[in-house]
This record gives sequence, C-alpha cells and structure tokens, in this order.
Amino acid sequence: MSMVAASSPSDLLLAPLNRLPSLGAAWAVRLRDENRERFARLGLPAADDEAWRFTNLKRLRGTSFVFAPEAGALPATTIRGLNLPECMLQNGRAVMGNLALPGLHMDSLAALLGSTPESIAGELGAWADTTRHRFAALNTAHLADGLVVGVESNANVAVRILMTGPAASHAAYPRILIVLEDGARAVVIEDHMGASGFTCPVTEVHLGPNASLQHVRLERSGKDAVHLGLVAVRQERDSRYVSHVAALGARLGRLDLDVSLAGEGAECVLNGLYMPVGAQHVDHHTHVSHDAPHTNSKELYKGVLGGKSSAVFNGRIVIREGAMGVDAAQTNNNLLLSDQALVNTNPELEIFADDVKAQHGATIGQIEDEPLFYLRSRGIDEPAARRILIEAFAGTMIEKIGLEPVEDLLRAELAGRF
Amino acid sequence: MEGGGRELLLELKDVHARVGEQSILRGIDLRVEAGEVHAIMGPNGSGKSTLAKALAGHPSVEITRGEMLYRGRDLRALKPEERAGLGLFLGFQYPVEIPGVSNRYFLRAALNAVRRQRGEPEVSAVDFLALLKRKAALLDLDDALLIRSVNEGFSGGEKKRSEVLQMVLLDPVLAVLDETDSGLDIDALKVVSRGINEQRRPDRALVLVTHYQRLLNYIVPDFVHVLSAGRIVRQGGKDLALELEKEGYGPYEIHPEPRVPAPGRG
Repeated sequence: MSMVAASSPSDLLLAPLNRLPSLGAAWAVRLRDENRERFARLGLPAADDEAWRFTNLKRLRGTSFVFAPEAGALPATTIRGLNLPECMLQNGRAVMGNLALPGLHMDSLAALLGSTPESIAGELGAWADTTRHRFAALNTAHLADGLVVGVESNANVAVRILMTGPAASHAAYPRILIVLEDGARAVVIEDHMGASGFTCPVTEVHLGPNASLQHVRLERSGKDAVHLGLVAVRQERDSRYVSHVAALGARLGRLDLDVSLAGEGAECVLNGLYMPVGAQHVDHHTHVSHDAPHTNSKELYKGVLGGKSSAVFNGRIVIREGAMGVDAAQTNNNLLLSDQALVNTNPELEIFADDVKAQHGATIGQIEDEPLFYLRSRGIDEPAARRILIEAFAGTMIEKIGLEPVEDLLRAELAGRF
Repeated sequence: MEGGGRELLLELKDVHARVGEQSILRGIDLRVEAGEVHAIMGPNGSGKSTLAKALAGHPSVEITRGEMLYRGRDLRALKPEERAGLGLFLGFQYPVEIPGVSNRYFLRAALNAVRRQRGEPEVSAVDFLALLKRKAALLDLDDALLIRSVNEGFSGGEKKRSEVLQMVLLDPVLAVLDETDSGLDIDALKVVSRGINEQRRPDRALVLVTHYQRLLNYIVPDFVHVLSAGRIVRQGGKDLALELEKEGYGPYEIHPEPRVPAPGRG
C-alpha cells in the first residue's frame, strides 16, 4: 500500500478539497486533514486484511462514486404510527436540521461549527477510532455537515433522524454526534433509507454519567447500495446504551459498532437483526471494551438468510486489566433458508482481568423438522408454517425494540421477504 | 367388530414402516369405526408412537408396505396439513416448544387453516378469543398459557392439556392421542380424561395410545389392542387392559433379535 498510484480507488473516493466547505474551527480543519491523510495512507483493505476477510469490496473498487451534491431531492418517508420530532440529512447535509424542544437541541453540524464550535470540541471525532476504522477516516476526511443531538441533564426525549441519499454513483458521508448529559434519557431512531450509491456514515455517541440511550438503527438502503458504517459509543459511569440494529437494505452492507464501557457500572445491550436475501451481503463487527470494573454487556444478533446471500458476524469483547466484576454475554444465531446462503460467525474474547464472567455462543441452523411438522399436523400448510417459524425466530428480536410502529415496519419487511 | 352401518374411519392393512434403517411396524391391521374408542397398548419400543406418527404423516416414518385408508382415502397421498383438514388429529407424546409463537396466535392460525380446508369461514379475532376462553376453562388451563409461546416452559401436565385443547378446537373426526396420560398426576389425568370423554361422539373415534392401563379407568375403551415388536398380537375388550395391568407386559416385551425382514402375516 506504500506506492499509491494517483488513480487508486482510495484516491478516487477522496473528494477534491475544493469541493469541501470551509470549516469554522481550526481543530475541525485539522481533524479533517488528518483523516484525509490517514485514508490516503490506509487506502482500501488489502486482500489479507483479517477484518475484511469475509467481506469483498469488489463492488466498491469496481464503481466510481462522485461526492454527492448538496441537495439530493429524495423523498422522505414517515414510519406509520410513529409520531416523533424528526430531523433529516440528505446526502449527509442537514436539510431539516434545527429542532429545539425542552431538553433537546438538534443542530446542523455545519452551522454549529460556524457559530459555537467549542460546544463540540472534544466530542466530535473523539470517539470514532479512525486508526482502526479506515472508512470512518474516509468519512471524517469529508467533514462538512451532519447533525448534532444534545440532550440536557435529566431530560427525556425521543427523535427520529432520517437519512436519505445518495443516488446511484454518488457517495455520501453522513455524520452524527449524540451527546447525553448526566441523567438524560433519549430514544434516537437513525433511519437510513433510499440510498442507491455509497453511504459511509459515522455516528458518535457520548453518554454522560447515568444517562440512558435507546438507539434504533435501521439500514434500509436500496438493493444496489453500498453501506459501510460505524457507530462509536463512549459510556461514562452507570450509563446505559441499548442498541437495536436492523440491516435490511444494501447489496453490500457493513456496520461496525464500537462500545467503550469507560465508567464503572456502565451497561450496554446490543441487539441486531439482519435478513439478507438474493445476493445481499451483510457484515456486523461489534467491539465491546470493558474498560472499567462492574461493567456489563449483553449482545444478541440474529440473522435470517435467504437466496445466495451471505453474512458475517464478528463479535469482539475485550475486558481490560483491572476491570473486575464484569459480566459479558454474546450470542449470534443464524437461520439459513437456502442451501446457498452462507454465514461466517466469529467470537473474539480478550480477557485481561480476573473475577469476570464472559460467555459466548453461536448457532447456524435451518428450520427444524419437528416444529414444522407440529404446525403442519394442525392444518397449517408448509409455506405458512415456515413463515410462522421464521417470524418467530426474528420476532423475538423485533419485540425487544418496544416501539410498536418500528416493530410493525420490521414485521412487514419480514413478511414480504422470504 | 360391532357397529355395522357406521362409517369406517380408519383401515390399516398390513402396514410396515421404518424409521431410518430400523424397521418398526411389521404388519399392522386395524379398523376403526365412528363412535369407537380404541386403546393401543404395549411395552416400550413396540411401535406405538411410530404408528401414531405414521397416521399423522411424520416425515421420519417411511411406510414400506401396506395400505392406510382414512375415510376411504389413501393417507399416504395426503400431506400432514391435509390430514388435519380432513379431521385427523394427533395428540403428541412430546408436544413441541416453539419459542416466539404465541399459543393464541398459533391456535387461531390452526383453527382457521382447518376451517379454510373444510370450506368454512374463518373465525374473527374477537370470536376466537371468546371461543378459546370457553374451551380453555373446560380444561382448567390458565389464560396465561394462551399468551405464552407454544408449549414453551409448560409443565408436563400443561403440555398435555394444551394438546387436548387443540383437539377440542380443531374438532376432529379421528383423534389419535399418543401417551396423552404419561407424565400426568392423578388430578391432571382426571381433568384431561374429562376433556377427552366430552369429545366422545357417535360420529367421532378416538385412538388412545398408552403404556399404562390407568388412563382406561377414566376413558373406557371399546377395544384394546396389544402391540409388540411392530405387530398387534392380541385384541380384546376393556377387560384386556385390566389383565395387562395385572400381568404386566412380560410376554409382549421385545427380546433382542436379529434384524431380519419380518415374515409376512400370511
């Protein structure tokens, strides 16, 4: 990778500097420049890169993507029955950016960097590790706009962030920063939809002491889209992060979820559901770092795979030295509906502390004969019985969300899918 | 057999079946008419459950010889769901747990599936709930079990009562109950038996597959068949069950024998 030709794919992905807006704060310019250099240096993963072993980026290499223009005129869609304040990013630019409700501020990142950049200094770019995540570096290299969600101490809010675009052959680098102050409580639905090109989003989350966030991330891009995202979470003392990830769209999708349980008593619950069909490929890499004593993590990802689809689940749990009294559990269950579907599941536990509990388990199976026969013996025909069993498998994940309109949306997706 | 003029529901002729490589049924002959209650008894391993599964169309049971007629139709040509639609019901020895499917949802799906097959209108959610509550109360089934996932975390007795509830809802013509009495304490047995007895009708037949005579104190059979090594080796009335209770299955236990093809019954 040392000899980077001028026309290498990584260069093609970096938009010319003159296409990027000026940034209000010197530190933000530095952040962007650093990551521009970093991505130029790192480039796309090499064939022997362990973190990309099962995810082929041919689709990214083979297509040229143009940095998406300011406004994508893509329609926004509501979620039926969901009545939450909304903000929207199109092609990564805030088009319905400002929202002020009691205890909640949502601002366009560009505006904030112009007016009060100090309010997010030390937060933006602080939690996404771009040395480990080259596509987060690529995102940061295009730092221009995005959305900043701030929840005041002891407030309780719920919002939906709608992310649309980019169109085919275009690339977008959406950026979100979510900061919850002490004791704040929030539900944030991050809803990616309508993309046809390459989306490379980064969401950074910082939870103050005792804060609690339920983060629902829906990825429902178009069937030709490429989606390579990072969610990076930093948790202070006694905070709680509950994540629900649903991967529905994209021809090629990957989400890295990094959680640092930095303060004592912090806890995270990571739920994931992926259901690729056709030739879709979906990859989830999670990295939970127990950096403080008495931190808990509970992780359950489920996949339903049809057609010739493929999926990767890689769950890393790190328990740092001195982090005693940690309780970590990770499970990955996969249901294969076709002989041609493929799953690679891989737990990685790195434990440097004593007096901890860490467990993991993974299953890959098909619809079982006995439940199928039981349902059929009661008059339910085979296709309907299979549907019931698929819905049961995925339904236990869906019902964990606890937001009926979102659950209905996912159930409808599921019903029409296999 | 008595009861001439009543519909012949089930007719098995020289039925041979195997599970995997193992030959289990070696020539079963059985006739069941409407209105009758039959008990099929026998020691462990005699083929009782395989016979029950064969009737319901379990994919693990392969019929290798013989005829299985249900109301004059070749059972082997019918899928399990079609058999259910035509009124054949199997109460499972080991009801299957299905996490994530609520019992109530399952029961309504099943009822409407058989009703559609029978050309009857589907039951609305509201009507179904009322029906379900009524039937569940008859079997002393806790409402909470109806909301829980199918059989998940049910006690042995709850599973069996739940099977009987399914039978009652699906209104079968021929119900085959596989060891519905095993694992029940005496109180649960009484409840289950009462539920089953209430299902006795002139146009319906019951086949009770059981290891123990105890059940037959509560549900009195018209015929008792003793199964041994895949064949019915004795037949009689209800007194045969009492005799078996006294004498035990000793004479009918399978002795280790080489796996040779069973001779035809001639």
